Amino acid sequence: KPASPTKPSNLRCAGCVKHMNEMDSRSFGAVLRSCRFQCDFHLVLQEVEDRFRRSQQLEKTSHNLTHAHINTHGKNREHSTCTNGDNKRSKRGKHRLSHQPSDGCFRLTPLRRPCETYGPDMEKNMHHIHKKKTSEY
Amino acid sequence: MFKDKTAWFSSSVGKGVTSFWVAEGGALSSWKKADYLFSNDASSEDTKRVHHSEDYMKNRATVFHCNFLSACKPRQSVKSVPIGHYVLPPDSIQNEIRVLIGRFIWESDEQVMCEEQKTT
Ligand SMILES: [Zn+2]
Repeated sequence: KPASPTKPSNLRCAGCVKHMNEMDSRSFGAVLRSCRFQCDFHLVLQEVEDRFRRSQQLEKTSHNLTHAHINTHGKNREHSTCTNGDNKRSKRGKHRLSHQPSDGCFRLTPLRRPCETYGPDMEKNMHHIHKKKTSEY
Repeated sequence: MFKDKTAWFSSSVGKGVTSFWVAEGGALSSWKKADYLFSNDASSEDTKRVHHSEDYMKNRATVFHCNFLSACKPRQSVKSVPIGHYVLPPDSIQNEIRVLIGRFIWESDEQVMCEEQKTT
């Protein structure tokens, strides 16, 4: 009669039973990952560590994004598209939201829409303004 | 006991532990190359560096608490001590884990050792 695991918390996983000769600092992560069953401790450990890794990764990529944005902004201002500006605005919106929730939210939403829906028209208007200016001169 | 193994020790680890490692045949190496990474304190700068490294992000740089080696000493064996219980996670997430599972084994070990010292 095989012993049925009624209390999973008492079971030990590969992270518990493998000793120093079987894993090191480099392989421990892979051992846990390949383990089909994990005890409470190693399950919690892996989950929280993975969340830490994701947040670190996120921090890094957002850093890279802002750097990339500054670079492209300086080089080709002329080619900045509507979506580009939209990204910028939504990012700023989040920052503003955390500081002044209601005000930032209401002011931002209408600002976004004309850009999204009437993008081409705005361009035409811009041309119009440009023509006007040149004719004035 | 530690023949053919390389380890890196954080500056937070006491000299006694490091010399025990060397006395038992273990070699020392940089944190990027060593097989085993040992620290006594996740909030120490050199351990933080490991926890924020690319290797750690890729799950290839688990730091172990140096109490693991202290636990091996009286047993004169590395096979009777599960090294996987001595994981030292990044400082910033330790409390989150404590809430879920309680004390780390390297914390309770310290306490057991203190109590033993008191009674003897
Ligand atoms: Zn386990």
